[in-house]
Amino acid sequence: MQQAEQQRNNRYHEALIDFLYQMADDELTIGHRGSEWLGVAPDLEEDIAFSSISQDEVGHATFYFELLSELGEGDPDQLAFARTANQRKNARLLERPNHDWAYTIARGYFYDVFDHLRLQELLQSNYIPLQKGVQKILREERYHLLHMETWFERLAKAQGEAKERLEKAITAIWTDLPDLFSLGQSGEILREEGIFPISESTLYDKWAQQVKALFDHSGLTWPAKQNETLENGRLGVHSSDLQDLLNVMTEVYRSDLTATW
Amino acid sequence: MERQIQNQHYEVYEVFVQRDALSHHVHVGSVVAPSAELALQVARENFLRREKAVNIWVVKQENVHATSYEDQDFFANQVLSKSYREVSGYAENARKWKAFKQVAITVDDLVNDIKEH
Repeated sequence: MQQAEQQRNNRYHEALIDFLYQMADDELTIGHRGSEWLGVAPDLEEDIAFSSISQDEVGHATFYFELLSELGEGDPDQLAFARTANQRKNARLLERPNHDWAYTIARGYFYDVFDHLRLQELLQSNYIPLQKGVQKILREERYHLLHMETWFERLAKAQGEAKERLEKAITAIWTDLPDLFSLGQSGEILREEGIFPISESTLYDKWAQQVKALFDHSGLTWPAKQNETLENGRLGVHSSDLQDLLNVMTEVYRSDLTATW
Repeated sequence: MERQIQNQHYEVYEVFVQRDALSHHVHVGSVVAPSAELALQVARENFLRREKAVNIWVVKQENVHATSYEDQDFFANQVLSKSYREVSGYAENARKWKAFKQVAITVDDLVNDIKEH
C-alpha cells in the first residue's frame, strides 16, 4: 500500500519536473533569441519594446527554474547555463536562428499563441505553486501575444516584400512545428495526474483554430499539417542551432564557474 | 532611400501617460511607429517598463495644433500691470481689514448712527 503510493508520488514528481523543464527551456531559448535583436531591430522603439518582451520571457524561465530548484533539481543558474544541449527540452523551433524580422515575428506569434493556450490550461493545474505563478505570467503574456499578432497581421497585409518574407518564414517554420505541441515522455501522465489537463492533439487543434483565423483574415494560405518527426526537442533531440545558441549564451557563465554574478 | 521607406510607413506619435485615476494625462515624449496600435504597444514598453500607470494616450503628432514661437505677442499678457489677477495683488488686504476693525467706536459714532437711521 505504502509502496504503491510512493510509486504514484514518484510518477507525479517525474512528470511535473519533465514538464517544468519544457516550459523553462522554451522561455529561456526564445528569450535569448529575442535578445539578439538588441541594437538591430527595425526601429529604435521596437528595439526597446522587443528587448523588454524578451527580458520578460527570461524572467518567466527564471520562475520555472526556481520551481525546479524547489523540487530538488539544484541551483537555477546551473539549470539555465550548465546543462548540455541534449538535456534541454525546448521545442526545436525556438532554437532556430532569427533569420529576418518576418521569421522572428511569425515564430514569435506561433509560439505565443501556443504558450498562451498552455498557460490558460495551467490555470486548472493541481500543482498550486505553478498555477499561482501562471496567473501572474498570463498578465504579461497577453501583451506579448498582442504585439506579435499586430506585427504578423501588419506584415501579411503589407503585400510586396514583407508578405513574401512572411510566407517564406511560415514555410520554414511549418516543418519545425510538430514537437512544439509534444509533451515529451509525460503527456499522458500529466493529464492523468491533473498537472496539465489537455492532450497534445487538443492543444494543437485549439492553436490551429486561432492561428488559422488570422491567416484567413490576412489573406494567407494555410499550409498542410506537418507530419510528426522523430526529432523531438522535448526528448532532448536538438539541431546544431541549439549548441550554437548555448555557446553564445553561456560564454560569460563558463568564463568563471565560481563567480557570483 | 531607407529614410524614404521609413517615412512611408512610420509616423510620430506623442505619448501621454496617466499615472493614476485622479491624475491628468501628462506628456512624456514621442515614439515613431507604423500604426496607432503599435504606438500604444511600444509606448508601454518604452515609457512604462518600471513606472506604474493606468492609461496611455497616443496622438499623431500631425494632429497636434500649436502656437508659434515667433508670435510672442500671443503670450504678452504681462505688458500692463495685472496685479489684480494675482494673489500678490491683494497682499495688503489682511492688514487693511485688521486696521479697519480696530478703529474704536465712540459714543458719538453710535448716536450719529441712530440719527441716520
